[in-house]
Amino acid sequence: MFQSQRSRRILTQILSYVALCTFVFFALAPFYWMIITSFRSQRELYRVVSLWPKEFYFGHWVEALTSAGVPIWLKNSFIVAIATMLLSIAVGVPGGYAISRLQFRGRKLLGLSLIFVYLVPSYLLFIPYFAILVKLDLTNNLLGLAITHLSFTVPFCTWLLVGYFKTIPRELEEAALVDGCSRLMAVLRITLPLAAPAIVVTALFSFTLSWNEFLYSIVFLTNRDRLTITAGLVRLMTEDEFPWGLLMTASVLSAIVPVWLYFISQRWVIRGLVVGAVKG
Amino acid sequence: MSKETSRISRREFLKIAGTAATVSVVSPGLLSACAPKAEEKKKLTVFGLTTWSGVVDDMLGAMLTAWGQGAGVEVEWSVFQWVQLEQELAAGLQAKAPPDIALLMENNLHYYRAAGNLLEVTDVVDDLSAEGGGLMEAARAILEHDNKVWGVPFWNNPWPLYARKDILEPAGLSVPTTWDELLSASLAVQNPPDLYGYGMSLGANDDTPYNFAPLFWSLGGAFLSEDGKTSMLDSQATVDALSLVKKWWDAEIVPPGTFGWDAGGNNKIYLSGQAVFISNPPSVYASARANDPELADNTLLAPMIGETAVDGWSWAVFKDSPNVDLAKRCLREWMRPAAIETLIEQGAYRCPPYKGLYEEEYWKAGGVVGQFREYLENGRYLAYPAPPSPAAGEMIKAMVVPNMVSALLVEGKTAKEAAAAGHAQLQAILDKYK
Repeated sequence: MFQSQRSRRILTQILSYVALCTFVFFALAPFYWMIITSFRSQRELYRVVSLWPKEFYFGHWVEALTSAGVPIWLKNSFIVAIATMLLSIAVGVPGGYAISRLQFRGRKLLGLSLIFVYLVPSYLLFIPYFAILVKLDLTNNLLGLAITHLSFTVPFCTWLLVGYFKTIPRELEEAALVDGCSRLMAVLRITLPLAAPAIVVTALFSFTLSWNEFLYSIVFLTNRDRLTITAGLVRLMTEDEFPWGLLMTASVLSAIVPVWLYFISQRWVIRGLVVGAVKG
Repeated sequence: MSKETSRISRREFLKIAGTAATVSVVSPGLLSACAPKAEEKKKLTVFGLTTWSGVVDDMLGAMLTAWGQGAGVEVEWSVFQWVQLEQELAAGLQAKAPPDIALLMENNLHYYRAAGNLLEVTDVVDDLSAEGGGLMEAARAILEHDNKVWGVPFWNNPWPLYARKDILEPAGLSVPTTWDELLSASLAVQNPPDLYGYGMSLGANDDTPYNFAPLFWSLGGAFLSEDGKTSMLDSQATVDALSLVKKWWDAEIVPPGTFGWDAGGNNKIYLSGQAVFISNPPSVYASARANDPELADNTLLAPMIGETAVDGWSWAVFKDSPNVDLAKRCLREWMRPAAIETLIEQGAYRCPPYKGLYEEEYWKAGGVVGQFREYLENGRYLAYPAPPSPAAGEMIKAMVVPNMVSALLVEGKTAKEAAAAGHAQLQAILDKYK
């Protein structure tokens, strides 16, 4: 019996590793192909199908980093994503706390409306947003773009944080209030430190959502030097010709920042997801 | 719950915060309203389309900026990929803030013209035409509606036949001039799956109608009636054209992956050396010239069998522009025939719309561009013999031709049934515009 239990355990482990390796392969294979393609010349891309470049070509990297405008676009994306992240947290944290903790008229309706707003497709909103930005003279403006990104990051962040705040016992705050803390001090000293993993997760998600956003970027930004990386990638395509090597190089560069951010904050992300940040 | 003891109550805190927020939002606006306004320079917003040459895009912008400096006008120049421009224009028109000038393809020119968004520019075009020795007939026809011209011509795209001379010549073959020759040459030299005869686009993309049209026209077909109100797809010509496509499909000279192609699919198959013939604008040649000179040297461009399709790009002025007179002046001074010639000679591989430009050395030197005049002189735009219209543009976007071909080759319908389905779809589109 002991032998069969041990065999079953080994078999389960083997199957688990096979499944994990398969998932890892499918997750990493596109990145591998993207990186390899960035080092192939345009001619080799069309003529040779192989897992390794026949000849390493660095021209796409030189072009991407010098004449194509990619560094400026990355900088713009970073500015917009950081601004969106900070504004989302600044609005989402107090909003999430208020909906989860405070009692006021319209609290439930406000909570539901956040979800409805989040569900409205951006294709329905880009025209009215554009009209507003034109009136405010905020087209071709990174702050204007960041403000429009709040339309999907704030509901998302607030909704996530509402769920997380509900998992933090009220008694902890009440104990602080009994001891003489104001509500604000109780939130700052007790609730927010406990909610740190969830705040980090929502910050990262709002950064990523803003970094990857495409439609608003291509419509609200027309000046080449104001483009974000997603809008800039489209500008590299010409009619029916796609410079695949250059596109893949720019894509690799655009993936570096979010990958690096998630890598350095993976501990917080796992804690935030596991402990209940995504509970509704 | 315990009673709160705080120095500032929540209500007072919110009052103070609200007052501070209101003051900080309102005061910059008040300050700027009170400040004396600097004299505003006139500004012109111009939207272009990405061409397959970054050199040409940059040169176009530089020419426009130079004009702006000379005229004392601030110019905002932006270049877009086509799909992006459509969204930009949709948002701009709805917000009553379109660009002053935009570069449009012919079907979109007539879409915006029919929607009442564009300004007639006949006077500008007549002036430039006189300067350029007259406009080529097809170039003017693409821009006209009701005897008025709605776009200032930029250039025209031909859709010639590409042929691999390094494959044909060793086999003792020349560029085909009939469909039978195309079939027999393909069968003689192809080696599927490594090499196919004719990389014909049959998928759900914008290239498919332009690949189908020359075959269709050569058999006496037309998409639209002369007045543009009736579909002409319920004809023997449609059945014959579809039957010929089926014959090529059964002979396996067309790659089976064609149904999954986007507009760059036939580009890719030619650039990867897997097709002997394709039909496409010179973007493929330009790409080969830049990245695969050996392939470019082994490429012949010839008039398409039957009729060569052409399309046209032109500059449109939007009615909602606050600077319509300035926009017209800009086009008159910036888009002069000589400027177009300079741009094309940078490797744009397009047909200039003005007759006089074909007397330049560049066109007389022969080679790849040697037959460009012939393409435009004998070329047909897609809606021919009907005038260009938004319905013709919708015919492309609604995938009428790809749906017809798919019904035949994928769903297994007869050519007659497929033609009938195509006719019904096209007529439904035309009925919307009645």
